[in-house]
Amino acid sequence: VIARLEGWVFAPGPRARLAFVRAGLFGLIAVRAATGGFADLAGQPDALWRPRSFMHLLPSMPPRPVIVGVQVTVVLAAFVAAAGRGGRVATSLAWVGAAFLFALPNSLGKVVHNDVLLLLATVPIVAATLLRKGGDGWAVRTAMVVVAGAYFFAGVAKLTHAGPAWVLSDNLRWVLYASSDAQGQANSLALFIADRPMLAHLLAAATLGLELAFPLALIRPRLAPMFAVGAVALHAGIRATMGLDYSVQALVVVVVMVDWPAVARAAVRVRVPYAGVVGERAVLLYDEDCGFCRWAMSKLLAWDRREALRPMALQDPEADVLLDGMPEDRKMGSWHLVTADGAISSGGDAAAPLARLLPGGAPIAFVARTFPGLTRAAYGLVSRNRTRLAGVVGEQACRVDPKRVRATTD
Amino acid sequence: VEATGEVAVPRSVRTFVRVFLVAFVVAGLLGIEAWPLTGFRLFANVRTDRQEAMQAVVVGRDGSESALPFWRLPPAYRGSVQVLKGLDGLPAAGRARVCSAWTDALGEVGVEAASIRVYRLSWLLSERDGDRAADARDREVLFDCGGGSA
Repeated sequence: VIARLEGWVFAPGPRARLAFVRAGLFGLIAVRAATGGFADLAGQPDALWRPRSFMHLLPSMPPRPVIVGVQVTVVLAAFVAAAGRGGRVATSLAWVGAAFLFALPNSLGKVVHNDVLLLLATVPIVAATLLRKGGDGWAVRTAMVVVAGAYFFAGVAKLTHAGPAWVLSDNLRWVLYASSDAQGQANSLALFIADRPMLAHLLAAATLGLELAFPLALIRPRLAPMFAVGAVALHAGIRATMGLDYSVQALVVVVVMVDWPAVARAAVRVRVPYAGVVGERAVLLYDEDCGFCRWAMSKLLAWDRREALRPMALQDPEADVLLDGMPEDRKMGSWHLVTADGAISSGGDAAAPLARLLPGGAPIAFVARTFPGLTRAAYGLVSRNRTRLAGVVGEQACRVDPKRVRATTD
Repeated sequence: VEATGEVAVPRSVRTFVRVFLVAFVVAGLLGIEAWPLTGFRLFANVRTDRQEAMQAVVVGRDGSESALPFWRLPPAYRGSVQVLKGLDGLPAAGRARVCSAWTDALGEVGVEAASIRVYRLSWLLSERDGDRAADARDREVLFDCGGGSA
């Protein structure tokens, strides 16, 4: 299990997503530092000082000028870090300053969890900037583990301390009655639920179920947006019934668990259906860094007398739109054909639809369609040997790592 | 989209991620509070019908009592309700310091307090008076503090 987990965490990842998560989390830090009301805590009498963790190093609540100074520093540094600028200095300053600020309300007598997830999820993003070695696709996945883990551990804590009674007893009803009684005005939504035992049981079960199932978002990434929606609904419900503000935590979930660059690409595809397909022409995507691929493309285009094909390099930004956010290793691992209806065929599977578009290609298309396994094997054989073939046909040697190609086309 | 991670992830990164995630998981599973590492113990205890709480009241010069209006105190006193929960666990001198801080702050918002009296209340949530809990069933004076008494 650990080996599989490590394999997943350290797999390559799209840089666009890392950039988005960095911008989102540091943007949240900047907004939180600017609007969190931390300076108002200055002037707390020493008798009320209840430090936690590293705040024990301080004898009392820091004075207002110190807090304001840290706030200004964090806001500036976080904005710079969010923009992907400032490197190690801005990133470190923003995180350390935020940890100091967010610890202040935790030194009033109670653990405040609202900002914890923001700080913890940002740790791998900070580390990716500080270590700056090798690939850093792991940073986003580590942040995802933190987010999923936070909810999972919240569920585990409920099971550990309360057991099934958290759902099966009237626990949630009493929580809501007590919360409503503690608010300035009675909370009608909280009382509505508390007055209906079955509804309270259902909501308690849904809450515990969501928390315990959250790691599924790591195993099945397509479920991640659903869990993000669930988390937002949970925190909105807590806000509406109990008046507790977990908006920062909810936003962290939305930023980290949803692949927003992929959503943006999908949105572009919806707005411009099959963008890149001009008229009825299909797009054939190839690796322009590969000499044999360029040679093969030139031969195909010469064959394509009816001009049914439009060539496009995989390195073209439009390729990501056409391929609907296909993972980078799959994208660069083979050629792809995108037909006018938006269908994507890759590797050997592209042979049949491609041949059908070429003059006299119908028999080839028939063979390729009838023996798909053989076609894929033939494509794989050519693909694995394309560096050698480039020498044979006299083109520049392929610059793509053949091992990576082999791994993704087998 | 430029992929990351084609270069093998170095040992230093792998070590960092392992240490960070182990610390996160251990704190989460064992409920260790070492902020920002935490056990995420949110509403984890079972609530029952019976509630117990501390209540602080302001005792005026004439002996009259009124609930201590924590909401009127400045933001720097925001954690006072949490401090109140642990007040009976403090030594008398510690209590006196806390109550003195409260009486000073009350004076600044125009509430004159001869002392502060702390009660322990218990009540049943199921006993309702309209949309509010009914009055406490049991009310026990724990101590007076501030205003020269502790």
